[in-house]
Amino acid sequence: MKKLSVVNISKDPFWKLPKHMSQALIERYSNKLDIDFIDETSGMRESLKDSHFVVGMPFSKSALKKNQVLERVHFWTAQVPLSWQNTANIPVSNSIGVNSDSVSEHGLFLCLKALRGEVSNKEFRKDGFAIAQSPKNLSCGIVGFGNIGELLLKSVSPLFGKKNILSRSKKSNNNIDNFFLSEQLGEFSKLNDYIFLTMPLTEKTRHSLDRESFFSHLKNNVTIINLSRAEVFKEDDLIEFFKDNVSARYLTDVTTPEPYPENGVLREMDNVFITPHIAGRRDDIWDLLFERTIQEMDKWISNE
Amino acid sequence: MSSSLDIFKRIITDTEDIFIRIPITEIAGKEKLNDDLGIDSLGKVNLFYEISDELETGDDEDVAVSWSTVDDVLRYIDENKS
Repeated sequence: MKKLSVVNISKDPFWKLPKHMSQALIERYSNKLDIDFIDETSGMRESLKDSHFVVGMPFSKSALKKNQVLERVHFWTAQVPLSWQNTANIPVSNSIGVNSDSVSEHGLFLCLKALRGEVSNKEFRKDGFAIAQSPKNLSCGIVGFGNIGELLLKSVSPLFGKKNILSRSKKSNNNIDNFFLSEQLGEFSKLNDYIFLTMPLTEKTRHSLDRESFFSHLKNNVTIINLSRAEVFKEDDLIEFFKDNVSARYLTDVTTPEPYPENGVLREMDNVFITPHIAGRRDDIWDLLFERTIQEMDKWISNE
Repeated sequence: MSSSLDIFKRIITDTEDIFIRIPITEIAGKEKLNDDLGIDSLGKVNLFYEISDELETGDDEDVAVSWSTVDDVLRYIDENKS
């Protein structure tokens, strides 16, 4: 029989496959496949060397270096590790779209937190109280217009006066005031009071936001909300910008590393707010991930 | 022969799934893998695979669990490079 490996190596208990779903996999597939649950990294490469189908949390392609029989990989995240992004001969699927609602809701939460003056320096406070901003006088920009970007636009459209999108390819949407292509990052950055980052981490987006391409164009009181990955920034340039522009604010669900150290530089800054990569944590996420996993598994098996 | 630090830096540069927070030129040895370089536990395993493959050590991933600083990794490279 062919072998299915379930890479269940997250150290975070929330992101461990629920036991009843492990059992459901066994009940559904054990008459067709040998199923191996890999719960820790110790011995992982050895366990994976004879796997035909691998599902689970992201892992580097080098974990499968000894494998000569791999047919398919499915990740439980939307983000595919870079080492897998240009794999021509092995179909790689991911869980894109599964957590989009939850992530866009988290983006709205961070947006409202900023709008209400809860992440602030003294400019946003008077007599000890935060002063909210009126978003109808403000422009927002969303970088990346995939599932998350589209849902986020739907949420924030009723709030902001102007809505601008920056993406690698043009899409039409009635809520967009201005559309910019990726090469127009500078022009886009100048316009917006709030900028949401929703693009995936790829070779192109990695470290793509630096002083020259991005920070030098921003308003000095911009609010940036990061739902993407910390690695889209050159971190030194990020820190420099928010130290030099105390009216600007950075709210992020992603950091390098994760979890972010208690004594990390960003924690010392009043105009920075960090949530510990919780945007995808919603009570239905495992039901959605598991449903997608079963779809991919059934597709693979039906092609056998 | 390249020093262990050179080998380490080259592997970090060439490996797609490892991201570090500081310029590679600033790495000297005392840096903590997680707090200073931003390499999390899975990143350490990825790093281990690359080093183990390069040096043909055949060790288990458990080796990486004990790595806390760059110097820990350099020590492993020192012990295994021919």
